[in-house]
Amino acid sequence: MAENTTTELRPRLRLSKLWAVWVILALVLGHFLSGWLIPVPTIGIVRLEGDIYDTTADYVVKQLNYARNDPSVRAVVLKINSPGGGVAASENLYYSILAFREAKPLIVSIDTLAASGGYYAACAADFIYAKPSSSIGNIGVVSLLPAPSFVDEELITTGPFKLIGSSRGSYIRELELLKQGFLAAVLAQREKQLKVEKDELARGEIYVGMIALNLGLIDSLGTISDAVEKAAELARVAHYQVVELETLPGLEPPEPPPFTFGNEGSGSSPNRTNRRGTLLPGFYYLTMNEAEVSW
Amino acid sequence: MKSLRAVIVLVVLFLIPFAARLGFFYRGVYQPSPVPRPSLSELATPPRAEKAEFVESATESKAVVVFDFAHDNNFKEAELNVLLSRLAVRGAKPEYLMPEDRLDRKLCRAQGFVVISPKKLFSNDEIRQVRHFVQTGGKLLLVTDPTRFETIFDQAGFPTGRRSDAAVMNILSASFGIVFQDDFLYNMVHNAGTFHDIKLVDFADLPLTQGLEEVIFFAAHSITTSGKPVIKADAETRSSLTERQGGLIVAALSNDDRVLGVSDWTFLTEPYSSQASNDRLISNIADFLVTGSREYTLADFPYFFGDHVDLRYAGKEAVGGEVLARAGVLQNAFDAVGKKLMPRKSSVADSDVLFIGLYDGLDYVQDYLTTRQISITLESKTEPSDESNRSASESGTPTETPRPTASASATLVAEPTGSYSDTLQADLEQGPAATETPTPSLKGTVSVADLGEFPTDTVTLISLGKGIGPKVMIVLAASESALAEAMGILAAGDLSKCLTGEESALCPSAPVEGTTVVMEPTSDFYLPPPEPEIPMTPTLEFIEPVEPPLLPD
Repeated sequence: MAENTTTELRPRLRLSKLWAVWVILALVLGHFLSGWLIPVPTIGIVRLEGDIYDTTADYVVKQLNYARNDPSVRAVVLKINSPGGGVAASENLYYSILAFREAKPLIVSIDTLAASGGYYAACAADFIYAKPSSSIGNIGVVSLLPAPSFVDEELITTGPFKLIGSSRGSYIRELELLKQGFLAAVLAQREKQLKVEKDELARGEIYVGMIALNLGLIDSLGTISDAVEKAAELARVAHYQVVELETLPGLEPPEPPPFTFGNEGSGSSPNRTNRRGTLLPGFYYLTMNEAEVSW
Repeated sequence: MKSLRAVIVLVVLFLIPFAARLGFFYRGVYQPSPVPRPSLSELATPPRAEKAEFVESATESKAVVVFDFAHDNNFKEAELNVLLSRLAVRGAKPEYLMPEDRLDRKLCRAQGFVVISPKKLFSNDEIRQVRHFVQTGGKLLLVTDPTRFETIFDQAGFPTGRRSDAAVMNILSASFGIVFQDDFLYNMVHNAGTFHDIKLVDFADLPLTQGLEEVIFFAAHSITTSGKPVIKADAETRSSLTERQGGLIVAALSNDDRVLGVSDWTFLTEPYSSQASNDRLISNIADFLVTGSREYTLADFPYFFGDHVDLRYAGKEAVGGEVLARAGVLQNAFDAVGKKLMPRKSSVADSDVLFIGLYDGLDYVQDYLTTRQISITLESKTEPSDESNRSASESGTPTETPRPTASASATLVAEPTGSYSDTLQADLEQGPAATETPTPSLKGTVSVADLGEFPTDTVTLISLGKGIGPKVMIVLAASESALAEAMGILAAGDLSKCLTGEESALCPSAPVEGTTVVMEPTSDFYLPPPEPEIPMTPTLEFIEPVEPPLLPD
């Protein structure tokens, strides 16, 4: 009888062991596959430091494109510390951020300065944080007037402004048009939040974070940690990792171009006093201090 | 059936990690909200400023307008084109005050003086000279511009700040009740292209604003004045310094209408000069500079004369070599300031004249003397040799017609029988002995309304009439030597030893020894200090040999 019982239990035990193996196998397989298919959500940090020129803008856009295409990156926090820069480069950032927002949330955290083109880029975000003492605003355009038109006996041109590009009067009016474009870009993103008239913004003032909040130029006071949390909240992720995207392979910062506008960064390098002299022809969403202007 | 259930269980077990992972990391799916784009196509460039029709209507003038280049002025020569062309149309002559020039000498002949954005301060002496210029009818145009500032560098060569031209200009302009503020005006709503290009339509009813409809200033300081506001900004325009709105003045006139302060230079330059009614305003400013009448004083000799001056002899007898020599010195003095002094028998209409002569030549200049309230009474003849030429008593208006002299010693005669070259030749043939014969002094009295009555043999009369028109200066002395002395005084430009009235001066007939009179300038009358002597060609004689210090053993 006992032998019969033992004989009957052996196949069951064998079956149980087989089941256990399958269960474990399914769980392990599920675990590994889920880890592969559902990676840990990432909040990517992108930094915009210093003057905005073609190379810096392109580098930020490259990181945004990576973040948009990488499913693990669920949101991006753009940390800005910039006095602005070239108009075209700033516009490149603005429209790239708008495109990114159609896929994933983007939060801006203003560190020390987001002025002129720096704010132009910032206002494209879903949400803007700044520190109470951050410098924000300076909406407007800067440019050097073109030289008066001239003719040259050897260098033949086909029109009076072929060499210079435009008359001084036209240039000033184009400058004003760009300022209107800047204001339109800000209003398009923040019309509901703004508590200040457009003409007041056009004065080009720089506000500290606390005043910028009252005026509706930013959404909240906070640090980059707050920005990361906000990004996670908008991206609807509960647990996540934070990654500086520039540390990822293939996203290393480019070498700055030699001695052109924007090369000096936003620090207190002596080269900054040379800014006016190194300004190339063109329009800039840029803030400059007196020493830089007076040079 | 059993197998199917087993597979389902296994699949469920397989999916559990997925569910757990999703549940752990995510709280939902991101739903992007619509991203608004700015509608830039609706924006348009600001319209070009209207150009008002402008037809130049200039009044002929021969005024001299001096432009200041001596105070490190912050403008380019080409920027003067518009104002120079307006002055040229009026026939005015521009002159330029360079750093090596003396301000008082330049202003002597000027009707207008233009100071644009100085970076170098005017000295106290210069301010006094400009005040004297204005007090004597000169027109002063003071122009500043917020875009013209001086960058201040530290010792290492780094820029540390800037100094506005307003601060420098105020040192001068405040004397005339005009103070430029270190700000710029802006209008964010109604501007001419950009915020600091302000449209101006508030004009005072003055000749300066005739024909203006709208003027555009391309960055302007605000002005505080005790005089008359000429142009004001509208109520929306603000000062960058005070944020004050309304009533901001951008052009002001002093109470005597002789000093105009304008707080923008750009509108006076091309191409900005052609916008709105700017052309008309510039023409009005040119009219302001060239109109009016300067009241010249004797101290302004010879600058109050035109380019060509007739030298005429007023006297019955020909004069000798001493006067001839001093006339040459006078010619050199005129040459040195770019003017020509040429002897003439009779004056060309409307030309400036310098009469020199003895008191007995009254009939040539009597009309002028009467106008200037000067009367000369001569006693009866004292020298027998003069009987043939002089009346027994001459006073007031002599009736005798001057006759030509036969004296071969004369070089300048009232009505010479031959040409000037003839008489000069005759003078040379006679030799120095003939010219060195001393002439007796004419006795009598000379009475000048504001100076008093003096014996003719002790004083020499120098007189210059006020008013518009050709300048007529008269120098009358009692003797040839006194006349020569007076011409020397004029050539030296030093009237410090003369008693000076409003239109006339009485100088001692003989040189005054050992009495140095220092005349302090007063608010009523200003005598410029004598020009310092600058050796033109330094020689080794000027270099003092310096002994090297002895070194201790």
